[in-house]
Amino acid sequence: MKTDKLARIVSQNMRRNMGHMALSAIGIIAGIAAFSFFLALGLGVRHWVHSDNFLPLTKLEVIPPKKSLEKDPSKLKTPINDALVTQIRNRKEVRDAYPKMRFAFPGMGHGGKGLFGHDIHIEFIGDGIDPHLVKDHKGFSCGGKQKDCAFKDWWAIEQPKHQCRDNHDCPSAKPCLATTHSCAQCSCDADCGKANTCDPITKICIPALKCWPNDPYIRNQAGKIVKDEFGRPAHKKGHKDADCWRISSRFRCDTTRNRCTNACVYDDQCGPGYYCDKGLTHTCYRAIPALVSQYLIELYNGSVAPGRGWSQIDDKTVSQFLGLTFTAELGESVIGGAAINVKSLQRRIQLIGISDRAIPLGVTVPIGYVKRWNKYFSRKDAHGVSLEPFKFKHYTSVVVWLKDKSKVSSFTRFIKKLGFELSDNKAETVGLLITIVTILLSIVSAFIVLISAINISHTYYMLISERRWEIGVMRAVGASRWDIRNIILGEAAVLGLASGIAGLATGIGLARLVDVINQKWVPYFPFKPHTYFHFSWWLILFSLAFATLFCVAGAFLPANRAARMEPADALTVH
Amino acid sequence: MNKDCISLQGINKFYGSGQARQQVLFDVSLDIPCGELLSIVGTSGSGKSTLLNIIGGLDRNYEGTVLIQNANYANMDDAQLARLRNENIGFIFQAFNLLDHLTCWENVCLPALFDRRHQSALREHATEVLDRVGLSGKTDARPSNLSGGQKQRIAIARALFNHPTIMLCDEPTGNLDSDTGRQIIQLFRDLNEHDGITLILVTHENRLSQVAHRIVQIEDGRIASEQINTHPIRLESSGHIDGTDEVDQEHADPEKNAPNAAAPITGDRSGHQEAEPGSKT
Repeated sequence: MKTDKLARIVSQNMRRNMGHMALSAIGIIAGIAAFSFFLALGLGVRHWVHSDNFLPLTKLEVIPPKKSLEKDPSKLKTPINDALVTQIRNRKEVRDAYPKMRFAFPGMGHGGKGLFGHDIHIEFIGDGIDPHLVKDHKGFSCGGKQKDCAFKDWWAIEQPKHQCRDNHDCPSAKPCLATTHSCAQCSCDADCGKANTCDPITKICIPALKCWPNDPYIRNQAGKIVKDEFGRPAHKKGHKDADCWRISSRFRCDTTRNRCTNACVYDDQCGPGYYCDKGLTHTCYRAIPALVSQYLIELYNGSVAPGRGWSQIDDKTVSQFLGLTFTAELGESVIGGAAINVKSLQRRIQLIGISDRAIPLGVTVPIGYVKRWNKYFSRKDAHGVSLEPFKFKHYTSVVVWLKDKSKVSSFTRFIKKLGFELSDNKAETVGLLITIVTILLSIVSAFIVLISAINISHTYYMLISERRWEIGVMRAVGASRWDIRNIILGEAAVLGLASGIAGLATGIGLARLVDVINQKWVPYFPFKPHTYFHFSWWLILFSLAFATLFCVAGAFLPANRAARMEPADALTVH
Repeated sequence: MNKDCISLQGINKFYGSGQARQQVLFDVSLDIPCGELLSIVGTSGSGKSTLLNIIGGLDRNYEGTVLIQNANYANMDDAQLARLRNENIGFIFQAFNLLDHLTCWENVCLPALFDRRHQSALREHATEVLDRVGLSGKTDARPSNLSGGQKQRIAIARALFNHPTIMLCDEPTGNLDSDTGRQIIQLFRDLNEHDGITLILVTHENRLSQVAHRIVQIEDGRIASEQINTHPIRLESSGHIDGTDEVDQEHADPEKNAPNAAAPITGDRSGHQEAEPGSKT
């Protein structure tokens, strides 16, 4: 039987049995509506959770095997070191990879008076990442002033000297200064040559610059006021330390000696962006740049700010938030007590940016700081040799950004082959949960469709019983069994397809209704999406196919029964 | 007459199973030449409709051999048999068996929907056939709006649509008044004469069976007699029936055309055995 003729008969029969068909299709419509609704909900939430702003699935964290965490990490056969990071970075699936090093010491922070009205004290954790991986990264934002963001290891740049705990840490038997925890470079001016002078407190050689704190104009080192081409003073000194800021903002003018120095007592004595380490070194340091994650901001906006009546951080106030500095007591902890047998370090940390590469609940600083701090807080033997070199030589993990979500499985195989594992992250957990819920709801919907298919089957048995004589007539005029079966299954397929379209339309309509309710009446919460649903093309095709398939399956037995009827028997009922 | 179109050999038919098994046809053998108009008469329940169903391939649960144009039903699968019904056999039923949800022309071209041969302009062809049975004005009417005679003509048009060589008519006048019945029977006669269609007419009315060349009497599942009708009656001279339900009363007069006008088979007609009136074949 040709397709056009089949279509003609099916169309004639559908028109005739419209009432029966519509009634039996209600179940299929309801089932497909529920099926598409729940499946789209699952897909939508999954899509939302896996989005780059929330929990990106392409961001994986390679960690040592979990069983080895219970043992001494120093005895790991395959530590996460620079060689491994390079190996991972060279993989074709990998877009970027960078090591992470967690704080191996406790930390407390206090500050924020400018933003919150009073200082808050908080225990914090943190980690360090390579500054190059934050540079020009699209997920990095610092209040619209990206060029001003200076996520750098300033200590390494400005103070290239050895940090030490005792004399063993310093080269050439130079003393480790108890005040600054840095190796002395000099003991007197003679150690520094003609152009430099030995700072009496920090014991490092600095340019022997003179300063004239009480003079309103900047002078050269000969003492003469710098003049412009018209003979007028070139620069009016805005600050008494301006002569020294020509070296670095961390220097100030020691008015007693009229010499520049980086020793300080108060923060005001240091230049902009610097602070005085009053607890230990009494020198000016550039505040340590730190990043926070969007997750932390959302947590603050969603939970902390409403609970305390504080204003939320939005596009307007984010720059004020990012300028926030707080004092970190490294090695101190309310919960765990002070670090073992080493004096805590006091540092000033400034929040300079928001990055999705930052630790979710904590601060992320350039990895150089963490390496030094972890080395400082590691135990040492009597000769000053670190007993825990892994603390500053081995990374905690490697964060890997894959080029595509489809690369996850191949990369996972590669990592497991090397003996490492992927950290269980929230994306995977939440994704699994959503998948399970989606599957459950889909099974419920599938049951609705299945029951509808049984209903369809009953309807067709009834219809065939009613149309027994009609089938006999068709057989008499030349229809084969195959033709009869095709006619009935064709009707079922059309019914299924029409029901599928109606069910899908109902499902999409319900989804839109939920989204409208969500937008209008559901209060804001972190990462609130515009829609919870994702009707992918395959979901639409699958729903239609599902409806059609079940209808055809429901009609299969009745169709066979009709096809098996002897024409003579069928004709006798009329 | 031409060579045999239909040949039945030793047909037995049973209904039911086990102890309820009942035989309704007993060793029926019959040869029907091409172009013959054959009447099968008998009382209700004598097995004539069952025999017609077997001849038409509507019933395959029988014992014996059925040859249609030398093709044995036993060697044909369902699709081949369906194709034979579609292309070679036209059925006319007592209850008309029209599909009420279709218009007249859609009913008429129903066989075309199962015809594997290329066909175009179905509506035009259906209109032609309807015109032939005198219902050209009813193309788009629904069968439910037609009279019994008109319905039967639609059924005849449907049977004629694929140009069959055999037409099997099962009590075609059973639901019609006598005048209309005569008209329909005459139409069959004309189709037989003008188109050469082999026509088997099952009826329990002896009066109408007199249009046939041969009359087979069935009683209790057996062929009770087989008579050659040397003077088949004509109910109307015209090959065209215009649907006015007028008949040639002279030819239709049952008294003049009673079974006594039929003569027993005496000659040697090809494909037929001679038989005395009332003899069983």
